[in-house]
Amino acid sequence: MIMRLGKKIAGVALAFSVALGSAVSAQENEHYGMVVFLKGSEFFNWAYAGFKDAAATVGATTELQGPADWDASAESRAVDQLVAKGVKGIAVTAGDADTLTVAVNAAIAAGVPTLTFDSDSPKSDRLLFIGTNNYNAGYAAGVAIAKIYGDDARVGVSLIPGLDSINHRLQGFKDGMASVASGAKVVAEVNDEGDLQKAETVNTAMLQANPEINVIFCTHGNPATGALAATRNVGRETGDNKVGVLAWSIDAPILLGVEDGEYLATVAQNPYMMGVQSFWALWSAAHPTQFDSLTHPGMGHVPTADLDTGVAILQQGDAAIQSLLTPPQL
Amino acid sequence: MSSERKKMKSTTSQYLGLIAVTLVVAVGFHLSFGNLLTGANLRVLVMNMVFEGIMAIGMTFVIIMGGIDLSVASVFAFAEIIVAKLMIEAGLPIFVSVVLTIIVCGMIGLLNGVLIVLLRVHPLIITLGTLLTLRGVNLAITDGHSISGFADEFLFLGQGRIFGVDLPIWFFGIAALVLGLALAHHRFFRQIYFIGGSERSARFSGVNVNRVKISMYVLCSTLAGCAGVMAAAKFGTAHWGHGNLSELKAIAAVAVGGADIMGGSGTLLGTVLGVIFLAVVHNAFVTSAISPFWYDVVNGVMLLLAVLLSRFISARNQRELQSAKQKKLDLTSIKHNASEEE
Repeated sequence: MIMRLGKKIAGVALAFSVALGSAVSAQENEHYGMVVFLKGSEFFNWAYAGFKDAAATVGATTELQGPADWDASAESRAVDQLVAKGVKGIAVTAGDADTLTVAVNAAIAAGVPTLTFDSDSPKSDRLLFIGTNNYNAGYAAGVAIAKIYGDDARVGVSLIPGLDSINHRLQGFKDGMASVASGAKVVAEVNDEGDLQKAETVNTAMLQANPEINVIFCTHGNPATGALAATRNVGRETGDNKVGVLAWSIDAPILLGVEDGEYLATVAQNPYMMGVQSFWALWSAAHPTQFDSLTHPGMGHVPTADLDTGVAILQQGDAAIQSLLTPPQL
Repeated sequence: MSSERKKMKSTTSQYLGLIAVTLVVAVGFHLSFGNLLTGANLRVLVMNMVFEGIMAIGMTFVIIMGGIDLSVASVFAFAEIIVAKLMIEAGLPIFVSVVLTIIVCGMIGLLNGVLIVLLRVHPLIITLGTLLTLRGVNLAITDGHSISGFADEFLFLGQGRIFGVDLPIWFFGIAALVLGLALAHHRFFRQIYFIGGSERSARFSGVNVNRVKISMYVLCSTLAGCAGVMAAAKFGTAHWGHGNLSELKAIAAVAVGGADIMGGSGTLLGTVLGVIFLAVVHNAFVTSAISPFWYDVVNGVMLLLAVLLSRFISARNQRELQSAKQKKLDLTSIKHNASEEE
C-alpha cells in the first residue's frame, strides 16, 4: 500500500517536473537575478518589474529570489544559489549591510557582476549602489514644504532615532526647508518606533504639546496613517487649523489619501527606476568592451559612484499617482 | 509478522518514498533546466538548509518526546549576537566565547524544560514565550544593528572546508550520525519514544520523565546555539533578523521526515531525508526560475501530505494492534472454554 502510494507520488512529481520543464524553457538567453528581502512587498515588486522590463528589451530573462521576511542571511544564501546557477548578473537589496558582504564578495570573485539597490552593502565589493540618496530626498521634501508654508512652516517630525538613513533624510529636510524659507522651523521630533499605533499615540501627544505645529513630516513609510489619525484625535484634520501630513510612501492607501486630500503630499521613491537602472548597469558590466572596467577587470564599465534615482513629491491631482496605483505586471 | 517489524516496514516504505520523490524532483529539474546536480550547486543546496538542519536534529528529539520548541530561531540569532559581543566587544578569545555562548544557549533550553515541567503548560506556549522574549532581547541588545569584525580564525567555523566540504556540513553530518545512533540504541534516548507514546505509562514504569524532558530541551537549544555560532562565522556578521522563521523549517523537516508530530515516533534518518528534500525543492525553484512565490505553497502542501501520511500509518498500526489484542483475547477465551469443557 505504502509502496503503491510512494510510486504514485513519484509519478506525480515526475509529471510535475516535466510539465514545468516544458512550460519554462531552458534558459538559453542571458539570465539575471534580483534578490530582495520582504519578497512580495509592493515596493520590491515595482523594482523587479523595472528590472524585468529592462531585460526584456534586450531579450534577457530575469528571476526574483529572496525571503518573504526580513532575513538577510536568507538573502545571502539566495545570492550563493544564483552564482551557482550561473546567472549573468545579480542586483541585491541588502536587508543588512554587513550580512551580504561575504556573499557579494564571493559573487564578484566568481566573475558575476553584482550591485546593490535601495539598501546598500558599502563594505562589500559590489559594483555600485543604485537607489534613493536620502539626503537629497529629504532636501526635496523640505523645499516642497517651504514652498507651501513659507516662513510659517512649523514642523513636527515622526522618526525612528539612530538610523543613518533617517538621520540623512531629516538633515536634508532641514537644509532644504532653510534654503527656501529661513523662518521655517522643526519644532519637535517624536519616536514612532516604526509602528503605526505607536505613531498615532506619539504624534497625538506631540500635537497637544505643540499646538503651533502645522505640518507632520513622516521620515519613513510606516507612521503616515498614525500621524493622520493623530490630526483627527486633536480635531485638526480639516479647516483653517488643519495639520498637513507629508508621508514617505507609495503604498496604495497613502496614494489614495493624497488623491482625496487627506495627506498634504507623499515623498515617492522610484523603485521601478531602481530596477531598470540596476539591469542596465549589470548588462553593461556583463558585456566588456575594448577596455575592461578599471575597478573590476574582466567586466564592462559601470559608474563607481552611487546612482541617485531621486524622488518625486506627489500632491493631489498629480498624474503619477494614477500610474503608481496600477500594480506592476510581474 | 510482529508489530515491531510491521512498523519498521512502513517506516522504510516512507523513507523510500521520500527518497524517490526527492530524486525525481532533483533529476527532473536537472534534466529540464540543468545546473541542479552540478558540484557547485549541490554545495550551495546543502549549505542553504544546513543551519535549519542542525536545528531540526534537536527538534526531532523534542517532537518524538511529544513536545515542540519554537524558540530555536531566536536562540540561533541570540547565539550569533552573544558570540559576537563576547569576541568583538568583550575581547574574549574565540574558544572561550564559543563555549560560553553554547553554554548560555543550553541554559535557555534548561529554562524551557524546567518551565514546561514545573508549570505543566504546553511547550508550545512556553517556547513561544521564549521565542518572543529572546527576539526582543536580540533587538534590544543590538539596537537593531548588526555586529561584524570577526577574526579570520573564527570565520573558519562557518566558511572553512575540510576535504572540500564546508565545516557546518561536517557538523550536521556528524551530529546526525552520533545522535542518530544514540537515539536508536542508547537506553536514555530510547526513553523519549516511551514518553512520546504515553507520558503517563512512562512515568508509571519508572522513567524519570522530567529529567529526560529537560535534557531534550537543553539538547535542542544547544544545537540551535551551535548553528548560530557557525552562521555568524559563515556570514561574518551577527544580526537579530538571521534565522527568522527557521523554527518552522526545522519542524517541517522533522514532519516531512515521517516523525509523528504528536510524539512517539520518528528517526534522525527521516529528519535528514526531510532536510534534504526541503533543500532540493528550494533549490529546484531557484534553478528553474519558477516564481518563488510558489515555494511556500509546495512546502506547505508537502508538510500536510507528510502529516496526513504519518497519521494514516499511525491509525493503521493502532487498528492492527487492537485487532491483534482482540485475537489474543479470543484465543485465550477459546482455550479457557475448552479446558472447562474437559
